[in-house]
Amino acid sequence: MFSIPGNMKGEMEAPLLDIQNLRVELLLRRGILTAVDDVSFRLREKESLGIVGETGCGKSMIALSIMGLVPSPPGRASGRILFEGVDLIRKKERELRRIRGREIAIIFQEPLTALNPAFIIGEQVAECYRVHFGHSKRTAREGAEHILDLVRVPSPKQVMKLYPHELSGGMRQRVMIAIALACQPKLLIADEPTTALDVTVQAQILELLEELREKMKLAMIFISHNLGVVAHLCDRIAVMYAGALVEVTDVESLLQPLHPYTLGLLDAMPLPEHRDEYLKALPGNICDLIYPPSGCKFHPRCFKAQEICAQERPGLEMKPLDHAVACFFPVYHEPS
Amino acid sequence: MLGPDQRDPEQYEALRKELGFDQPLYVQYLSWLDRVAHGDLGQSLRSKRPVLNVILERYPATVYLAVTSLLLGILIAIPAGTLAAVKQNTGYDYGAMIFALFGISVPNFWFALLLILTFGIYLHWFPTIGYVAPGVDLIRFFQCLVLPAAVLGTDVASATTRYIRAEMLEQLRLDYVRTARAKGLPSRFVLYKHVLKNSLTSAITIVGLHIGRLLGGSTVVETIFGWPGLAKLVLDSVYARDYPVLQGAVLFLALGYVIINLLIDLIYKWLNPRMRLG
Amino acid sequence: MLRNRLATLGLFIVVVITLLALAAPWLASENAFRMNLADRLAGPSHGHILGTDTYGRDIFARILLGASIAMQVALTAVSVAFIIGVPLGGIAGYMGGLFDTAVMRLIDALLAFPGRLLAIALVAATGTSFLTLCAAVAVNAIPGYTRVIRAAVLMQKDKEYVEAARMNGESGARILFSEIFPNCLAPVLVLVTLDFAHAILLESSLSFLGLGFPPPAPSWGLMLSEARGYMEIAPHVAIFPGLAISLTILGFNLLGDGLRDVFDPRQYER
Repeated sequence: MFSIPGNMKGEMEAPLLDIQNLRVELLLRRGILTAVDDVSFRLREKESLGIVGETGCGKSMIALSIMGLVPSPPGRASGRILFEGVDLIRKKERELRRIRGREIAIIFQEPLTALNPAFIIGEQVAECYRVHFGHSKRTAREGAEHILDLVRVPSPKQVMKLYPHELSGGMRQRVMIAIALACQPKLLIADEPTTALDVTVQAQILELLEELREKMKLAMIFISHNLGVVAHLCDRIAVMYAGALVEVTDVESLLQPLHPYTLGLLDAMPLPEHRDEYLKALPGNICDLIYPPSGCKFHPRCFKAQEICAQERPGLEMKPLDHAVACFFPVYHEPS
Repeated sequence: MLGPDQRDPEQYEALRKELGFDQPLYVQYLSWLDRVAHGDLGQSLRSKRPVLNVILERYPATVYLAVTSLLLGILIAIPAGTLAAVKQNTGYDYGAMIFALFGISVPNFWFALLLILTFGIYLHWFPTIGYVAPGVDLIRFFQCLVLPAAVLGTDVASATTRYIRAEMLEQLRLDYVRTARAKGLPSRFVLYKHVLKNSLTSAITIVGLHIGRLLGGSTVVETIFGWPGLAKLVLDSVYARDYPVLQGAVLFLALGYVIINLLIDLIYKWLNPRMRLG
Repeated sequence: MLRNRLATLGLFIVVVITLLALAAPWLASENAFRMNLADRLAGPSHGHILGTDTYGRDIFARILLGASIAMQVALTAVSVAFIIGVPLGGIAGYMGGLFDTAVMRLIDALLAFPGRLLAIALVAATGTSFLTLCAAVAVNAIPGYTRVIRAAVLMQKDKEYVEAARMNGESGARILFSEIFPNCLAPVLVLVTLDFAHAILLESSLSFLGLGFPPPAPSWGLMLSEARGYMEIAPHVAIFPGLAISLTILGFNLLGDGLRDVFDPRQYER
């Protein structure tokens, strides 16, 4: 039905992460909410993919399904999530535990609530070493100090003795990154890591992530609703709407988006060049995920919508120059 | 001697003077306070022994009973409440809730009588009355302790289970649990280490609330089982109208209660780092 | 689901007990006191549904009358607590300031002491009688009302309709009674129900300890106390009154919980 967008640099290496037809449904009283609707993509080692979309479009659900953390009632994940060739959806909890934190790690949006308020930082970081490597208390502590230093936490020895509420937001997020990277995972998933932070701190964290990505040769999935943030850090970007991928390509190509939704997102970004113009907001709201519109889910808000858009769903198709889009009437740009 | 019926008017007056009852009430109270401040709690009207001695003799029994009951209660409530929270809305959960409900509704003196009937009279497992100091005969001491501690312990347990369940449910909802699982920690480990520590603070507060219940319940339990503690002393002195002893015992109990609450506040502060910084 | 069923069960029990309590003086007062020493400590039989006690009195009749006693004490005590606690809390909440602080401190002091001990001390000081018993129970219950009403008043105090009434020139007392109190009804109702449960428990405890009604009053607690000596030969004398107490308290507790669920929809436990 559609082709899977991959990194077509001519090689057919086995991807680190291969998601095939992932579907996540939540059984609610009102009906079945389709949070992730038939999503497929691939990620190679050391590659970074950004997933962008409005709140509620399902990006976080993808992250949780990879980790096997979808709350099981009411959630239900189907499809295949192949990590190094092994299907994670089929894995039992015990086996997933070995992968979590060790091969795949995740950092969340709000570090204050994500950290346990009752334990000191040192304990929470050292825990990773003890659980995954069986290190002694002392070795684990040394490891914790080392990784805290790596994420540029000043005076790690002192900070290790503090509680989460005694640190600033930026510091807490560094700690979360330290915890995530402690066991040197191959894949890091960052779910809106900078959304809750000040702008200046945001920049610092993004810089840190870039540096660590280089140093530790991480593959990364960066989830955000902010295109600007993602463009900075990622090789490729996937745009999601109402649980489905609508456009996947590399950062440069995205500046000339094919999908009307992506165009809307770009237009809605406040840029200094357009200072004197009104902000162009996308009309309408995200659709109902339990009873989505027929055909293309975006068509009620689309300025290019035509009859066929309400009748059939466009699949994700690969266009020239490694640019995938799910639209019957993609936007064409004049060659500049 | 203290009965209002048999008295000879002269003797009565003499006694009144001796006990200072002819003074106005507030003067009596103040002079009592003064004596207490100097460590003199007066003399038992019944036995003529210093009240302080009587109290010191009897308070260990109450302490043993109270501590054992509390421990028992907590040991039951924590696993019960946790299980109910983790397996919410299943058989375990309903079972725990019913247990809690019955605990609140069944009066402890009746429960005590039922226990005596079953374990003491029919099964002959435990003595139904009596007390032996632990120094004298440890085994016998524990045998006598079982039934009264069971009554008070289940009292504490049933009320605490509800709270622990609610607290656990609250904690399991929070983000840090998700982070812990994302780290790859096994879920039982997460439960016991991470969640429990956070739930403990509220559990301690609840326990603090129960100290009062425990003291109140002790009066009944100590009476039924003939356990010679302070609560029973209070009752005995009420029956015998031995007011000095009554005042002294109540004072002691009140003081103990205040001190324990203070300790609980301190423990709470220690367990909850957020409060430490104020 | 289960919650609803339990609450209805509670309502059923409460209604039955109330009816029994009302009917008891007519149905049972004779039998409850008629002694028949030849027939003492007999088990349940045709003549005596629940058997007889140590004086040959019919236990069933005594339990019926005991219901009446328990409900009378509970009703009086809770009413007293209500009459004293509600205005106190209402005025404290509305006026604020020194009065408020004073009242709250007093309440705190009252609450600081374990309830049963307080009751015992009170009875010890003033002797055993119906009034003392009610007073002891009432004192335990007053803080609850004061706090609940005060909290509710504080919540409503700054709302617009209060402002509007004040501008209309209505006096504080009127506002309090006609505007604010009707909105506080819900938590108070829950409290009343639960307080009935507490009252019955306290009354039976005190009677058990001999600090309540003197014999031969058929107070449930007293019946249990009297049964202690004969448990080996006649356990039924100890079982039935206790069952009566437990069921009654259970009923009120279930009803109170059910009412609380109805009025406070934030129950995410279920």
